[in-house]
Order: sequence, then structure tokens, then C-alpha cells
Amino acid sequence: MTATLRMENLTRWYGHVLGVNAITAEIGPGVTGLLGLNGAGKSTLLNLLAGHLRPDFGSAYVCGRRVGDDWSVYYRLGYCPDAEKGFGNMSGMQFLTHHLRVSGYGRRQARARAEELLARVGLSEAAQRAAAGYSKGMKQRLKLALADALSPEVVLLDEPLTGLDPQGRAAMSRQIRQWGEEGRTVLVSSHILHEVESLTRRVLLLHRGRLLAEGDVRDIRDEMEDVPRRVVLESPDRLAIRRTLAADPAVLSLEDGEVDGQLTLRTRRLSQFLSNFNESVAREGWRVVRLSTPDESMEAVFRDLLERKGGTRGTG
Amino acid sequence: MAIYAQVYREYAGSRRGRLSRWWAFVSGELGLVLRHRGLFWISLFVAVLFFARLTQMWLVANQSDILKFVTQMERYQHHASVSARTYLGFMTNMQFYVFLLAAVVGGSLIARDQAAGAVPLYFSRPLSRWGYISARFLQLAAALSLVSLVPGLLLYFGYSLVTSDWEHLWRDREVAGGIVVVSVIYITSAALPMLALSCVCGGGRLAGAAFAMFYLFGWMMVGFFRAVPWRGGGEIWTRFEHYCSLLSLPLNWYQISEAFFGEKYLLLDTPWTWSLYALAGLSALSFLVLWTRLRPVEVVR
Repeated sequence: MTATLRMENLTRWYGHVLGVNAITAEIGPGVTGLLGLNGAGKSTLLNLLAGHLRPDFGSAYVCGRRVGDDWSVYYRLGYCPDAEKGFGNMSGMQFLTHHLRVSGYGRRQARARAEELLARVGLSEAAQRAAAGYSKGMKQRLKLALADALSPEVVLLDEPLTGLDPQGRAAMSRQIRQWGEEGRTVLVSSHILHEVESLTRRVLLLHRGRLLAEGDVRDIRDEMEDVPRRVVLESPDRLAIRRTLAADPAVLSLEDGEVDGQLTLRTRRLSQFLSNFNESVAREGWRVVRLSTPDESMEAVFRDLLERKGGTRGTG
Repeated sequence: MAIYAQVYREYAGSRRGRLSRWWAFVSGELGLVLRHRGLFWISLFVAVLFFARLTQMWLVANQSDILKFVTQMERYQHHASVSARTYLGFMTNMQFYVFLLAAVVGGSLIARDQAAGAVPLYFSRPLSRWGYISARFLQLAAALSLVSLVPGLLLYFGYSLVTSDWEHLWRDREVAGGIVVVSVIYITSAALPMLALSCVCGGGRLAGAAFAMFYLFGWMMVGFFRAVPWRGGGEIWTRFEHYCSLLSLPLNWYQISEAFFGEKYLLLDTPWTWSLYALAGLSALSFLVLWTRLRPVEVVR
């Protein structure tokens, strides 16, 4: 994987308050989630990557070029900020056209491109209305259109799904996934885990300005060998399965579930357990109605990581 | 198509140079500044004053009998003729409207961008710090010129129009020069401090109020010196009053205007060049504030 976004020891302080601390990571094409509780440093990190903030230490690179040194970086970077950014008295069309023109496009080109972008985010009908009067969802879509204005290779999205209705959320998620499939590098920040989970399994986990973990959620989970994982089984042959699993050294504990036929067990070696269990099912002919690993979800991984680091707050 | 098989395709449009991008920024929001409701109302007052002066010029040239009664009052004698003093009077009237318009329109120019976090967004277009400041200055200056330079020059040309004295355009060219120079000084020394306050105060109304206080402070100071009992108590106090007047924006404007139109109104002892230095210092300080506060990558919510 070629890294289009690279962070080297990226650090930012606000006076005595630490924004982000020594973050080193590489992100390649596709969608990557930036997860963290409120105040974890997500927006600061995105601002550092977008060149809106100067790092106290370290550097950020976009497509191999250092942010802050090379202005051509800005043409390869799209940023959808969390806050409303200077719509003023402009209509949606004027806002996009203005920014495109300031980016260097001619009047006609800028207008054509703005029309195309507004149509893509479903704002064609509201194009001539004052952007300040748009609903929250419409403003989010307008900001997304601005992020996509220059067809950037790298797109940074700060809480893009906040304030959207379910329909808008689905459309926005579809758009973000499509960008990822097109080969763009999309970094999406959120503190709502299932939102990110619906977009990607590749994440950066931030906590109190530090990078807690990065990579695929399953890989992160596999590296946490000391944290047992739950497996929930549902089978009419529960008793026979129970007897066999009780003798399995990979299984740490066994409990009957609340539903009849349900069994919950804990294991530290999930892949080994699943492999053994598959063989047993084939050999004994057990009927398994359901098998799930709830601790594999992003939320569970995040919770366990926070517990290991001494964080106690839940996620939104 | 698999991700690895795809390549990034930039938008195919051609891209213009730095100057074009800067001009797009200036012109893009100039319309918004010129459509400001405050500008409309203030321009209306200015228009009334302008037509009053033009009427006076017409009366002097064509109906001098009507103005006979004016010549009998010593204080208003200068209204019975058109001279550099007529233009000086008009331009000094415009000072108040320059201040008012700067406070009403200029207060929000940068404060609005800062409140919305749009400054870094513009810088990442990319627009340089110099480009941003000069663009905002030009937008405000364009509005201020509508209540200083434009009516001043219109009055100058208007005189020829109402009197059919076309030689006036060449004969009194120093007056036209005075109007241009004085307007530029008004505009620069009002726009830069206003933009600096807009940048520092964080809110358009607060910035406008701060500028109004700064302007009115100048007048209040003069009023204070003239009202206190020690006035006339010696040369030292008079000198103190005159040196303190260097801190007053309107009094400095008066000094400069009188110097460039070759007339005397207020009879201040300080040389006009000192006032020019004071205004240049104020403008330079304001620019320094803008330059240090508006860092391209430092503004964050």
C-alpha cells in the first residue's frame, strides 16, 4: 500500500493543553476512520493534516509533499470541516463558485463545476438560496461538495454524518464509500463508532491526543491477546457442545445464556478456538443455529483499548 | 475496477495565476460589501450634502444676488464664493461618514471570517496572508471611497458642469490633487485600524464600537482641553493640548486636509507633517496587528 497521508511525530500543544502527541502513522487509499472520544484530538489532527494548524513538532505529508511547505498540496487535499465555514450572505452556488474561483478556475469553469457538485450532493434546487439558511444536513452536504471541489486525491472529513437524517446519512455514507472505491484516500473522523463501522474496518484510534491503535479492527483485536473474547453459540445440541468445550484448553469459561439453547464462552485464542470448533461440528454433526463474536465489533475493541489505557468514559 | 488499478484523476479545468485568484477573492465579496444596507443609508446622507454643495456652487455662479445676505455675516462669508476652502469644507464633512462607514461595514469583514473559521479555509485555497489582507483592505477602501474620493471628485467636475467653467478643471488642479491625497489618507487611516480591530475584537459589532470609541475619544479629548479652567492659562498648556491632539484621529485628518488645501480652520500649532507621521504610525501599527494575528495556519476553532 502506498501511503498518501503520512504523519511523523505530529505534535500540537494549545498552551499547556496537549492537542495531539507524537502521532506517527501512514494512511493509504480507501476509507479510514479516525475514532476517539470528544476532545481526543481528532479535529486537531485533521487541521494539522489539512495545513490549517502548524505542528509544534513533527510533520505531515500528503502524497509525499510536506504540508505547509508546498502549496501544491492544497490542490490534492479536500477538507470538510466540522464547523460552518464562512457562508456569509452567499447562496450555495455563490459559495462554491467563489471558492473555486479563488482556487484559480475561470468564471465559466467554476460555475459549471459548482453546478455539477451541487447536483451530486442533491442541492441543485436550493442552489440559489442563501447557504446560511440551509438546514444542518444541507450545510453538511454543501461542505462535502466544497471538499470535493478540486477532485482531491485526499479527502479529510470532520464528523461528516453529524446532524444528518437517516436518508442523508445513507447517501453521505454511499458517497464516502464510493470515494474510497475510486482510490481516493478518505479520512473520516467520528466519535460514533457504528457510523465508522458502516464505512470501513480500517481505523486510527485516538485517546487524549495519543494514537491508541491503527489498522484493521480485527487485527487490532488479535494483538490484544490478554483480553478474553466472548463467543455466543446457539444450538439445540447445547449440552453435548458444553461437555466437549469444557475439556477444551482454549476455553476459559462457559455460561448458559438467557435464551434456551444459548451458550456464552470466553477465549484468549479466538482463531484457534474457531478452528477446533469447526472440526468438532463437522465430526459430531452438531446443529449450530448461530455463532457470533460480539467483542469483535469496533465498539468492543475501542472499549477494551480504553480500559487497558485506564480510560473509563463510554463512547457516544 | 480494483482500487490498486485506479489512478487519481484531477479535475480537468485549467488553473489561473496568483493575481487572478487574488482578484477573484476581491471581486467575489466586493459585491457583498457594496450591497451592505449601512452603505446605502450613509451614501444617502452624503448625497444630500453633495447636492447641497453643488447647489451652493450653482448659486454662486448664477444667482449671486441671492447670496448677498450671506456676505453680510462674517462667519459665513466664505460660502459666497467657491474656493479651495469650499472643497476643504466638503471633505472635512466627509470625515464623519468615512468613520461611520468604516465602523458599520468594516467591523465584520475579518471578524466574520474568524468566527466562522473561514480564514484557514481561504489560506488553503491557497491565498497568501498578504493577499488576504490586501483584498480585505481593498474591499473596505472601495466602500469608503464612495463617501470620500468619489463625491469629492464629482463635486470638482460638477462645478465645471453647473458653471460651464471648463478651465477650472486645469486651473484648480491642485484642488483635485488635494481631494485625491486627502481621500487616500482618510481611507487608509480608517480602513487599516478598522480591519485590525475587526481581527482583534472577534465580533463585528464590538469592533465597530471600539473604532467609534477611538474616533470619539479624539473629539472628547479636544472638548476636555477646551472646557477645563486652565485653558488660556499659558503657552505650555496650549502646547500640551496641541501635542495631545496628535492622538486624535479626526484632528489629524483636519491638520492634513488643511495642509493639502492650503487653508486654516483649527489653528493648531503642531506641524501637519507630525499629523501625517501620526496617521502613518497608526496605519503601520494596524498592519502589524493584522500581519501577526492572521497567520495562515494558526487559526483554529
